[in-house]
Amino acid sequence: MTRFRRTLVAAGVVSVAAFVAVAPTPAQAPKRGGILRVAEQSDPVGFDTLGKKKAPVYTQLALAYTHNRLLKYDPSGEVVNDLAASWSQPNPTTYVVTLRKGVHFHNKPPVNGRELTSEDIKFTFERMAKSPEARLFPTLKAVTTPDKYTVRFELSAPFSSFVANLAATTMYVYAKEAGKPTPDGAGDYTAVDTVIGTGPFMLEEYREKQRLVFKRNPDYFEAGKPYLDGVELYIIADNAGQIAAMRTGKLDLIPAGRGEGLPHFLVPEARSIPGAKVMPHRLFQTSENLVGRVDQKPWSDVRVRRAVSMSIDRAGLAKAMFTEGAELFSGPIPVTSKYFIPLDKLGESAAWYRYDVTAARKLLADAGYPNGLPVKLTTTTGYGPTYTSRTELLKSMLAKLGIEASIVTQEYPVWISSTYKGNYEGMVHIPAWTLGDEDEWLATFTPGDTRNQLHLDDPKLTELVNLARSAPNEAVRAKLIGQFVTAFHDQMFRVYLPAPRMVTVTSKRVQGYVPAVRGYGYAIALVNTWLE
Amino acid sequence: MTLLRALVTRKPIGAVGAAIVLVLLVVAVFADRLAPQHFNETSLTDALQPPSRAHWFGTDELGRDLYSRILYGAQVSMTVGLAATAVAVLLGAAIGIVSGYFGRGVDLALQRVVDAWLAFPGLVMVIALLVLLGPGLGSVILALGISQAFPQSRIIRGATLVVREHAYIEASRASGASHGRVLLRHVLPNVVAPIIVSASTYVSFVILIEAAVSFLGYGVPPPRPSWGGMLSATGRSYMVRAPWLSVFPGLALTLAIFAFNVLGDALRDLLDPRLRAA
Amino acid sequence: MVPTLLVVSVMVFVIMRLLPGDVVNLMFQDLGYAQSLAEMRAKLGLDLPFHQQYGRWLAGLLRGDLGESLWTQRSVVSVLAERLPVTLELGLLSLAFAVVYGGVTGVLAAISQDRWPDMTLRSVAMMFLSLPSFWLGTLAIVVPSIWLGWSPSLQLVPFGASPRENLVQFALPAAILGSHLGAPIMRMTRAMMLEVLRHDYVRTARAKGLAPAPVVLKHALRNAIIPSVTILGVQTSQAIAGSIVMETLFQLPGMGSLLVEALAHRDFPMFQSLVLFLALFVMAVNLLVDLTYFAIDPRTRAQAG
Repeated sequence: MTRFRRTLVAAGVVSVAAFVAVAPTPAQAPKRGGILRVAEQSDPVGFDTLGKKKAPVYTQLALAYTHNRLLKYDPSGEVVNDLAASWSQPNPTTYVVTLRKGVHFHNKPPVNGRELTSEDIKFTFERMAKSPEARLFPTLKAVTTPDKYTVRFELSAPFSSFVANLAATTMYVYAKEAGKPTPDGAGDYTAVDTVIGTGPFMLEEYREKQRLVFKRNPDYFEAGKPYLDGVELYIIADNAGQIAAMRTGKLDLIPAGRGEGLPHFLVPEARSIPGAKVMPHRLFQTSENLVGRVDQKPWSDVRVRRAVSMSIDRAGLAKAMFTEGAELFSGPIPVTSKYFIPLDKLGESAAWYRYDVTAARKLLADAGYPNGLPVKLTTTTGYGPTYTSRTELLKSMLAKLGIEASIVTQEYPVWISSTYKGNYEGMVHIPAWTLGDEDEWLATFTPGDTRNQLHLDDPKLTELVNLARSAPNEAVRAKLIGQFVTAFHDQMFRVYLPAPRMVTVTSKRVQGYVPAVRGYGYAIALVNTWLE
Repeated sequence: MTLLRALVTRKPIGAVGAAIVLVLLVVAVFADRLAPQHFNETSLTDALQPPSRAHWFGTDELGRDLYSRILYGAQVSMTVGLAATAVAVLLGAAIGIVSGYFGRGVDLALQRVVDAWLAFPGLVMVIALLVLLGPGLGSVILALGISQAFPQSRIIRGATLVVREHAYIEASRASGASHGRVLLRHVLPNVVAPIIVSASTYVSFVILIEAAVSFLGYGVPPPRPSWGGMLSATGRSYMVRAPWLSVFPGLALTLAIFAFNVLGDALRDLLDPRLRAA
Repeated sequence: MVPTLLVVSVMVFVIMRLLPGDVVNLMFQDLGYAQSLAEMRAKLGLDLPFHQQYGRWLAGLLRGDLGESLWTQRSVVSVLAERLPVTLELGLLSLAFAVVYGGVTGVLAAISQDRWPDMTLRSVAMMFLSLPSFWLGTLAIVVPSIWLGWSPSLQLVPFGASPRENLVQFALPAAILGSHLGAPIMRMTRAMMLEVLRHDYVRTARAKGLAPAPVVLKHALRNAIIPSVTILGVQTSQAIAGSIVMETLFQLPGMGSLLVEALAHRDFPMFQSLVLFLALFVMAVNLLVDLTYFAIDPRTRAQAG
């Protein structure tokens, strides 16, 4: 080649390269098609979230694919519209919801794709009233349907959590004819063939202990979505097994929808999968805690409780066990709640969260236990081996304080029937919950609540809860909840451990998935997800 | 003594087994002296360290020394193994001898119960008993012991039946000896041999079953370290991150089971009258 | 057989009722108000006196109605029908592996009695017997996923759909279980073979200059089968116990894992029916063994005849 020609070629190459480098890359447009493969740890138990028993977690997770609620939570935790087009509150005890028009149930018999109307909402609320979920709407007096797309809720007293509870992950809307008839009219929605909702996916197949297969609902009300042709949800009980499956290309998503999420020590393994995205995020949840009976020694003495709190090396625990991050300071309401009070705004009570074994020992001595004391520490095998391993850690931390904790490990059915209901002695290592709205969290500290394991009966605190529940506006509610939380930290009724970040992992095919703060409905994020 | 000599000369593998068993017993008894650290001495800053000079077998997720925990685990495995076998032998002997000696109605009734018990799928009975008795070392011993008592009783019943045919039993009874005396002086000595033989193999079986129920979530509860518990619980989850957490307990279990197995085999070969005659 | 089954039914019924914790508490967890718990118990028939509950259950059994699972409300029969093929396949493959493994190694060990192949084979068998199956299983799952990029199929592949994939799925748990079951078979085969080799006709054949191999082989086959058949009853029982662990580990939806689940949920009808079914199965196998033994072993026939 002549020198001139070579120069031309070189120039050509350089120009093309420059052009390619400078030219804008097209924005990642969602692609339609493909099957997403997700893993969950356990089966749904029936497909009814408003049945006669407590809605199992995995059932709630499953219905997020096939059903909608009036309202839902967006990824940041804000309440947004789902089936509702708009809502209003004409007066403190009335809410009016206007439904979207043109929403259709799945085209499956016997519902056959008919349009959603306000009658379906009314029916759903009738079901709710006959189920344990009735606790979400304690002051609901009447649900009326002025017209086909309007629902009117009348309350007997103001209830500040009403709107938030419309977005509860059990309040999915059911079609009356889809359920099997029952004497009380509520219908039985346990069976697979009753799973007919308005949601983005339709349940095509369910094999127990194996998988659920969802396929796209072609008539979904969000035009053009979902992008996915379908989702296959595999039941893989073991986290390590889930990672192994993703590593060998069999899985696309390991969600952190519920309490535990992926243990942090498995995250390095997940990161080593080529192309995998590891997303640590927070969840609307409190944390594991140590609790006792406030009506019995030793937990009845606030000095003992404070001493226990000061003997927990939260920073050390978080550093060793929660390598993907954790909130050191948790509390009676979730860290992600807008009413959460951070440690630096807590004032004097912040002292009880310092790690100071010497001061803790002194407090314990003041309470009358200069040489420590023996105490039963109950735990269970039901939450997996890492949980009981943390119980052992707590035991060794308490030992430095002088508390000789003897661990009692209960099998899960025994735990649920006794300890979890408040039937125990000594202390308990109890897990975090994912409850609904702040009101529900607070309600667990009132007498008569089935979740009041600490047997707390403080009239002032109960008063605060009730006032907050019927607060006329946000400002008042915030103030009351703030008072509750401050008093709670001061009294240290529960000693909260650090709250770990939850970890969601996706394979390299997955685009557009945003983990949700309100976990149980993570499936709604799949509406906006696509595969490369 | 002659048994010991026979073991070493004719059944060398069995002798090795016996030696290992002896070492395990010593470790079990003197675990707190031999272990460099207490089994629940946590140290979060040392979590998940691989084997090193400071920690021969590495550390677990709470920074506890694995070597120490393995030594303490020997305590649990040996206690459970020997105690449960003792329970099985005592209970099994009681049932088997009574059934075989008295015969007829008593035998029929007892054997129906034994049949029913043996018809239960293996682990199920153990797990059900464990749940019934509640968590704890004692429950594990009792549950394993009771469940093994019934197969054991069959063997002892067989041996008792053989003994019962002997003439001197009739003679003894005819001359006015009480049942108790006959049982003690004539029946018992002759069933001891089969008991020893089966007991040794049972220990290995019990150790294995204890590990299996720990795997399923029903074993000896924390903080006492048991090899089975270490294998099942955290060992599995940490398999990739910290393989030493399951390799060492697994090896320890295998060693113990192997030792009792070969010892049992050797004892059977040496004590079985049929083989001795041949 | 029937009286024993009756005793088993009473035993399992009583044990289940004695266990602390119940299914209704599991259903309601922390939302159990006294009234709802009572209503649910009444609905499930759990508030009746024990002898009535037992009577109802027994009557149902005789009709062929095994009831509904308390936990999922599915019919027990349909769940058992789903789970049976898995455990059956696992059991059969494990036993087949055990017989082949035990038989072949037993014969080889006997032929080279007390020389190094014998010692090695016996030690290896003993080693496999001593390795806890779930440990071996865990290693077998984790190691290939890292080194070979292979992990087990995410869900059960029925034999009909793809025989090859199905066998691959079952191969590992069957081999692990089979190595445990094969050890006693090996021992017995070896012992029987040693007897055969000592027999006159072998020595006669040798004296005549005939190669002992065909004679040995013919008798070897017959004598290898006899010990396997003899202990088949015990082996079935052990296989069922082993399948509990293997199914849980490899996540196979069989009857073994169902037992653990039903117990954890205090699902009385499911657990009771399953135990009865398995007991019946084991007893049937034992009966079959006795009959077969009678048929094939000339000595017992000679004794009877």
